Amino acid sequence: MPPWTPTRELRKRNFLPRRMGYMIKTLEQEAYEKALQDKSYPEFKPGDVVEVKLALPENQRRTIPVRGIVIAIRNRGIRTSFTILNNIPGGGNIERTFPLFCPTIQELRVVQKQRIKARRAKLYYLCDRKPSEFKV
Amino acid sequence: MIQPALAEEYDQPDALLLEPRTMLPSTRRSGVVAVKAGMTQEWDAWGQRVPLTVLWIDECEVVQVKTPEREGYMALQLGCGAKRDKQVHRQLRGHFRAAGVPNKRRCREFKVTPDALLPVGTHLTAAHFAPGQYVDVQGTTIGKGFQGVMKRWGFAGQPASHGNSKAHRKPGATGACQDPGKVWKGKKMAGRMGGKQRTVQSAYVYKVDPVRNLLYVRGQVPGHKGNFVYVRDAVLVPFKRQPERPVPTYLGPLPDAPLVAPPSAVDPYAARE
Repeated sequence: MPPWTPTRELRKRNFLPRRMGYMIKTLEQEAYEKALQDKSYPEFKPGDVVEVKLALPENQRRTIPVRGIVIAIRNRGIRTSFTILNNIPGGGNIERTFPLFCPTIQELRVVQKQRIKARRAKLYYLCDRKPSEFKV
Repeated sequence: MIQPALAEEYDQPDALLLEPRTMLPSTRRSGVVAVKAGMTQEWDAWGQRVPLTVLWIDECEVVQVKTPEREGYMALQLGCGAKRDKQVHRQLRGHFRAAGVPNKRRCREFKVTPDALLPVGTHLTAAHFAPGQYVDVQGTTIGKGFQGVMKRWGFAGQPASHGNSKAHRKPGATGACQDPGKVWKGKKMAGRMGGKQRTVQSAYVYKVDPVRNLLYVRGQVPGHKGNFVYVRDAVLVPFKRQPERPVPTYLGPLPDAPLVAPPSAVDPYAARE
């Protein structure tokens, strides 16, 4: 039964805290499925080089590209996020984390698959390595 | 002020006319009893992330109308939730049966002005609130048990080292010397924290889902998930800053899609320049 059924119609399993947990799960799952339909991103994995087109809200929504190696993907439905690492000469290492379904992201493009042969899910060890290994 | 249409004798609350009226600065509408479901998030039209608390209105009905003639004040008693007959004692069962409503789990009174009265048995839905308005949400806070003075009152504590002897999280001194020679009543000390009724004022209603009876309110709300909260129009927000709200409640056909609050006219990111 849908979680927003009035309690009066339920004979069993009407413990409110558990039902409300089910309600939030259902609402977030709906939002996730709708976001997947609206925004179709390519498949990408840790170790891929990805270019993200951001519409900067603080700069009249001008589109700028951000490029880097994906070092982490955190799958949480609508709150899924990923982290990009790059090294800019004269600027040092830059790690940026983006929510996948943020409206600021206009486009996501995989530039190179498995630039780093990733043998684990999170590649935080790259931050301690020489920039030449992950500079894009 | 608009004269309310009321029955001559208050012993027949069903005779109250149910018709839409305009809201005035002096009108006090009824609130609603809801259940806190949990928190989620959304991105609004400008691209800002909005943290939302979901409140579910579980069949909120008017159980009793209180009048100055009989009870001495004007109020509506609303009931929310459901209980089986065997869970409700005889006196309460009689109270609900006299009103002709099913047994309710939680009842609460809301003081109203005469133009916001409702007959017994009227359902209040999420459409009672307009998206974009401000509400006060009242609930019982999460109980934290017996807590020390640093967590309960925000005391600073004492140094961790430099010769400190066993007094890292204690309150320290509790008063002056011979004058007054006592500890004042109400001195902040360790004790039970939480489990009290608190109100979050002027919470913004971001979205209203009338079909599922859900209210999405920005920010946090006191209490655990699954606990009852009382939602009513904000008292501190001026009448002109609130949008049009239905009085005594929303009486038309329920919209089938959720209503989202209109985005602000000014781009929040551009405002910094």
